[in-house]
Amino acid sequence: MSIQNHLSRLNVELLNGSLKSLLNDTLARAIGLGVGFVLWTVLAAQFPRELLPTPAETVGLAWGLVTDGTAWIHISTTFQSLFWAFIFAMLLGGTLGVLMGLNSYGQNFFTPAVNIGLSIPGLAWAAVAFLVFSYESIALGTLRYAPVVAATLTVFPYVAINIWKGVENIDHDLLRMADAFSISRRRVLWRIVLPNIAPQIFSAVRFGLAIGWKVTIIAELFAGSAGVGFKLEHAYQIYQYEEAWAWAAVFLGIIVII
Amino acid sequence: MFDKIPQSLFENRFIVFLESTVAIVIVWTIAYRTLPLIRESFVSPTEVAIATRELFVSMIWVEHFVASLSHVFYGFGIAVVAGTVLGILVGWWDFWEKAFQDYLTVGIAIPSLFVAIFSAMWFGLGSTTPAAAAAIVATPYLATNVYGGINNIDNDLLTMARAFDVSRFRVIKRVIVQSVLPDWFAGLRYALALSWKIASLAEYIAAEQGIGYMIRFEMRVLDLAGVLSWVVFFTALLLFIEYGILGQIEKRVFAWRQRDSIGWV
Amino acid sequence: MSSRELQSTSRESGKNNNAGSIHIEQLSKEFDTAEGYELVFDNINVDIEPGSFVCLLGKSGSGKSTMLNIVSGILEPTSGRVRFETADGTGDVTLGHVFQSPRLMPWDSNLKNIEFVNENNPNYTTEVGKKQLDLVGLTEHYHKYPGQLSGGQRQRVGIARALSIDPEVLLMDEPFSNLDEITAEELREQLLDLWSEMNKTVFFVTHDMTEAIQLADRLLMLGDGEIYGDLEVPIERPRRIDSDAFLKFRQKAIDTFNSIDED
Repeated sequence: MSIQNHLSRLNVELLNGSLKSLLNDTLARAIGLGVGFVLWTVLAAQFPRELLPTPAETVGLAWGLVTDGTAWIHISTTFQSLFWAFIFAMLLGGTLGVLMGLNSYGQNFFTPAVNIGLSIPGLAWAAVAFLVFSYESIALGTLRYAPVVAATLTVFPYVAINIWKGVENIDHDLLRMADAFSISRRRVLWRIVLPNIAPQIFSAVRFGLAIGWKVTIIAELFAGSAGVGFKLEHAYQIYQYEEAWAWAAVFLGIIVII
Repeated sequence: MFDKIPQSLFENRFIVFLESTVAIVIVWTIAYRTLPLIRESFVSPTEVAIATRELFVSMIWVEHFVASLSHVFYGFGIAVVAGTVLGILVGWWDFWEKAFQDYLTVGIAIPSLFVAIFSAMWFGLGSTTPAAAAAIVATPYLATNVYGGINNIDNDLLTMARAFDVSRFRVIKRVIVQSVLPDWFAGLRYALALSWKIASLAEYIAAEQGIGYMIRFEMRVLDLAGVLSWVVFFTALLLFIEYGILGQIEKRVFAWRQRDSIGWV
Repeated sequence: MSSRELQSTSRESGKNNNAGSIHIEQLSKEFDTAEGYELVFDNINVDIEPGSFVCLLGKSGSGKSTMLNIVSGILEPTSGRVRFETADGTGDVTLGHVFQSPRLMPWDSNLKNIEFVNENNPNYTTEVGKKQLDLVGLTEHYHKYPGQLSGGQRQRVGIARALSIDPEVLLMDEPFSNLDEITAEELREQLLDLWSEMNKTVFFVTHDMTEAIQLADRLLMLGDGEIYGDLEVPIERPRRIDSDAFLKFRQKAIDTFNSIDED
């Protein structure tokens, strides 16, 4: 055998193949993050403090927000709106998706609505929701519904599409088999239909959450008094940019954790 | 009794489309008439139709449309270049995949409002903000699509080409690029829609022209019908670009695909 | 349209009837896996005569595809080499490849798929490509896409593609094992027709004994890292599966094949 072969044999024996590649991967990732970090610090030095605070400052401010409880208040507001919007969007989108998947009439009937829903930006729904709910908002306290409604309307098309695809692709052979064996409807639903569309349900959930929190935050631009989006824009308005950065850092931290 | 209802009501796609539109208008009108909570501030379809027509006739929309178009043009343009390059780097080489994966994850998850506000901070009022915001948000999405496309290249085809001693250039042009093209295109469509939305958002926050700016304007005067008329314009244009232009291109280029693709995602 | 009728046409297009010989010399291959080194085969020496049809037979996992991949140039051997020579000693040997799955590019038409591998072929024109498709019976399908064809038709395009570069040696990796028996039978007959008229060397890998005996002049049996069986197939062509000669030889071949389990 050639020298090359002998050497490569040695190499593999020294370091088990998989461990070596794991180290390589982590190193690459560390380099990527590290370079970004350094870049941030360097740029921060160039620009005025408010425009681009250093990582240290941002983290410090963010930590402050967390410890004094403000972070919790606003984040929980945002997440509450998100939660309700998610539920409604899943219900509305899910129903539509099922109807669309069952037959072509359902599909053709609801497609325009879903298409339009996809094209209208969250901003538009947020603006509309705000205007609609703002009347007598103080008296009726309805303004806080605005982000929920806006997010629901933005998200439901994505849920609908995913569920639609799931229902459409149910294995009809399985259904026929169940019919041949006269299996009860309940059992069919629970043990054939649901597992079949489970991947699409997961996909719908992921989309719903991902888009949902973005739109909720946008809606909070208008919604008056609470939520991460509101605080962010507020910071921008009063030129407290480093605070905006801190909020962003807090939120990103949460995303990373989840 | 049901067989008296003509089949075409259910089967002709165009008729169903009409039924759908009518249904939407009906639901809207009912909501307008009956929901107590919002009756005072809501608007009827007719009001919106009137407002839209007025807007169209007044030609105010031209100036802002052009502005928005240019914002999107620059933002989307940058995103296409950056996203494709990034996607290729990440898709082809392990090192770049690992180095950038966190950035892509964050890029996709970050709420667009954050990006819009930070762009506003850096670039102030004016046209750069929406363009930059659109570019920043759309790039990771396109990169992820390209990444996925490259990962899904059929290795069997590559070995086949190698067995036949096909030159590297030819393999890139006729196997690799062709293989990634559908995913790239899907990413392109999504990125365009996204660019539109983000640009509008950024315009709302910090621009002096554009659709987003006008929505803010109408909001300030609490004119819901006005806001909706702009939204109608916006949506109509987006739908036209998506299905009219991009959809047609997609159909031609991908004629070899037998499946019916409406290009949802 | 049978290939006999096309015989004169192919001669006219100036087809190269040069066959190549294959010389496998001290070939060995081992793989680095997580568990250590796996020896697939060691010190294989085989000479294949020009114009002959040789089948490599082996059970799944015996390494037959690996060997073919090395002969094809897709895989590097651990040691040893594979040499090719043309019958008259001139020039390089061109290899044609047919795979187990058709490996066609779905975004190109059949003709374009054939054109794809003819980059270095100065004799190639669209007409040549069309004639290849005629030869495998796909005359109406020049501009169709693989997605519009059946599995058997796609595999035929694969064969047409391999033949279009005028190879001196044809390498085939279980090309019919993914097809239903009826289609496979048709393609086997077609292959024999093409081979008898074109005088190319064929190296054909399979796990199907009956298929191997139907097609080959010579059977090589691979197992336990070595070639432990090398039989000439004395049956006259055209061969019938149910003839006495066939059945008798088949028994002998099966015995030889299974003899490896007795060690």
